[in-house]
Amino acid sequence: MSTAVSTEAQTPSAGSPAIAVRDLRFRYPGGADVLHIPEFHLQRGQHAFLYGPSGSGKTTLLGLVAGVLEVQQGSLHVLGADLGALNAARRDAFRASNLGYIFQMFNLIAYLSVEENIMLPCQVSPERRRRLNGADLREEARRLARHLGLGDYLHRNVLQLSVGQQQRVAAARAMIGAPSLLIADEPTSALDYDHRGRFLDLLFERCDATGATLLFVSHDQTLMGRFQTQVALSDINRAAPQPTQPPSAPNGQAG
Amino acid sequence: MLIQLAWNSLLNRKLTTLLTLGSIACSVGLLLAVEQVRTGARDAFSNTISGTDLIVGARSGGINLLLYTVFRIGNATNNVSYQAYQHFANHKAVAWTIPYSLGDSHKGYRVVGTTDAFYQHYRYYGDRQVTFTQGQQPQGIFEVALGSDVAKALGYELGRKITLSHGMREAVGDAAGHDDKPFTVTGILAKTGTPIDRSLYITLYGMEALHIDWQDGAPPMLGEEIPVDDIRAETLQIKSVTSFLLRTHRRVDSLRLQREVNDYRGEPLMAILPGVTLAELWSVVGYAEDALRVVSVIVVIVGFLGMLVAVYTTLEERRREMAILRAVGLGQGKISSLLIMESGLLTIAGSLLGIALLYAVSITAQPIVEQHFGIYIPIRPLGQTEFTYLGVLWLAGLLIGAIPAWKAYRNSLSDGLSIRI
Ligand SMILES: Nc1ncnc2c1ncn2[C@@H]1O[C@H](COP(=O)(O)OP(=O)(O)OP(=O)(O)O)[C@@H](O)[C@H]1O
Ligand SMILES: [Mg+2]
Repeated sequence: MSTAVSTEAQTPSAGSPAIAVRDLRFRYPGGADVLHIPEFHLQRGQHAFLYGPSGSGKTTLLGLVAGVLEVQQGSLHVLGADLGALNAARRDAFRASNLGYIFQMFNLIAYLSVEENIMLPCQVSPERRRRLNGADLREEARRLARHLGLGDYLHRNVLQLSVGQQQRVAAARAMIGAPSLLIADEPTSALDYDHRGRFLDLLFERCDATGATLLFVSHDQTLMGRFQTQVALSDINRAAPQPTQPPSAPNGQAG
Repeated sequence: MLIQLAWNSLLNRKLTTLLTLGSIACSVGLLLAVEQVRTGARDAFSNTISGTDLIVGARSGGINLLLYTVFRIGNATNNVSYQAYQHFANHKAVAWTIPYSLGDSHKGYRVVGTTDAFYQHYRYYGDRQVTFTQGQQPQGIFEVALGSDVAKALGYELGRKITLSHGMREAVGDAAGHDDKPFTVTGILAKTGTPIDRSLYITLYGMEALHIDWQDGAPPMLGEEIPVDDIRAETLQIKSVTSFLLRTHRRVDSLRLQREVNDYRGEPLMAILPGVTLAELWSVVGYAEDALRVVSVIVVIVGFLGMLVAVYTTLEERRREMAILRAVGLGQGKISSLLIMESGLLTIAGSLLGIALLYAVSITAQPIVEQHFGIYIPIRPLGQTEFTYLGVLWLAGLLIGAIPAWKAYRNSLSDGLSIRI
């Protein structure tokens, strides 16, 4: 990705909200609307908790915000950038330099070591690498890893890590090079209660340190209280819910 | 960075990668080996004779004349009278001639009656000359020189007495032999890598002496044999030769002389230009060559299909990896290039391995093949044809890589960031 492309896409105006949605509609090919969000704002620096039943479109919304899915109707501004106006390559560059993304599980590239996994975003995005302010990339990866209690595992094969350790590596990768927006899609659902709490502590601490906005999706409403903002997708989404799973799915159980 | 990823990803699937590399290496190695043998054979073939402008024999097919004169395959239907031979040997446009008198054999190897001119003028592989590793050329009537393969296969040494037999049958002491006239080995020729190695050489007088007491192509009756001691070169009269090689003073005269031979009034003769007839003959052999090539191309295609399957089948289990790479910021184009690079790396590494394999096998097999089959296959550096093949292969590898790449593109389009396990 050329620097010319990324600079334009990722000079988010500081005053603009982290996420601003207006009349956003999205449907998968051949399906009905999954999302129809008339209005939604998320201010910068917030820790936001997004929840909703399985199949309600949480992951879909995150895909739109991350620029992986294309805005079909309405407008979506992320960190001031109008994603609907960017082509796929620019959205990729935008994501690479401004976003950190943590999946539910199996976040890591199996053929890279812990250290290499963490360094990956800075290798993809020159912009993000620049934000290390001249610090050595490998050094920075190690520093983050140590900070997340992974100092002894840097050269491990990632498949030899426990799930909790894997999630911390994913967090380190999402946070390296100080992205402005951190997205986590049920990152704690595979962790036990203790680790969940510790993992959240780490996320909050890192986000506050860099001023990053956190958008955190979870089924687990016991975590909700620790966030500054809580968003129920069903409150902002007007699209008819898609009954993909019985509504009685208990809380906290990974889907 | 992508290359690094592709490389690591291949290393991560060691077994599949090794198997794929192996199959590509084998198929590429085979293709190159066929090419090597082909050019080697063609080279050896067209270099069997050089420096000769015309081959002259009794009128028959040109290829037949070439076969029995140069390759010692098949037989002449008629001979050239010594008088006609003399006519052209003394022709003012002719620099030298090498007469051959064929028809006898020793243990399946042909016996060639010829003159000093053969040792002096015969050339192969450009300017190489026939030389001796031991002894010298036969001078006496009952002296014989051995081609290197003959000496090696039969284990003969200088001074050994051998008997020759009529035609191509084995010498078993039957009536149609020349048991009464043994020859002494006086020389062993150096290896030439041509049919010269598989013949025995005597003088024209020797050939004449063998048949001196024969009547109408039948061996003498018991008691009618002429004893060896009574045969003298001065009393022998050479009646005919089978064919002869000819060199002109000025090569421009070749064509005129060829016409002259063909129009010779004394008897029906024909002259051929060795280069032209060699090419003609090779075009016949060329069918086998094409068939060989087709087979090796098919093997290469199978090898590449193996690679396609190997890369393609992993795509399903790699959807997660693709989604992660997308999330980190790789575009779909880069994901596709990653897969193309994997195929590209496999192709390049596989074909380099194939080249190594080719030379490893050639070097180990060369002496074995030579020992058991008497065929000397020269080991040569890769030529332009081979590099063209490799270029085409690499391109094909990339094109084949485009198939899983396209599939991965489609996958990542429909998967987005939702990860399937
Ligand atoms: N790649 C896809 N192609 C087609 N339809 C999809 C795709 N991904 C999701 N969907 C559909 O879109 C709807 C929303 O899915 P999404 O994954 O966003 O839900 P979710 O809220 O993240 O659910 P969960 O809590 O189970 O992860 C579902 O009905 C799902 O079937
Ligand atoms: Mg989801």
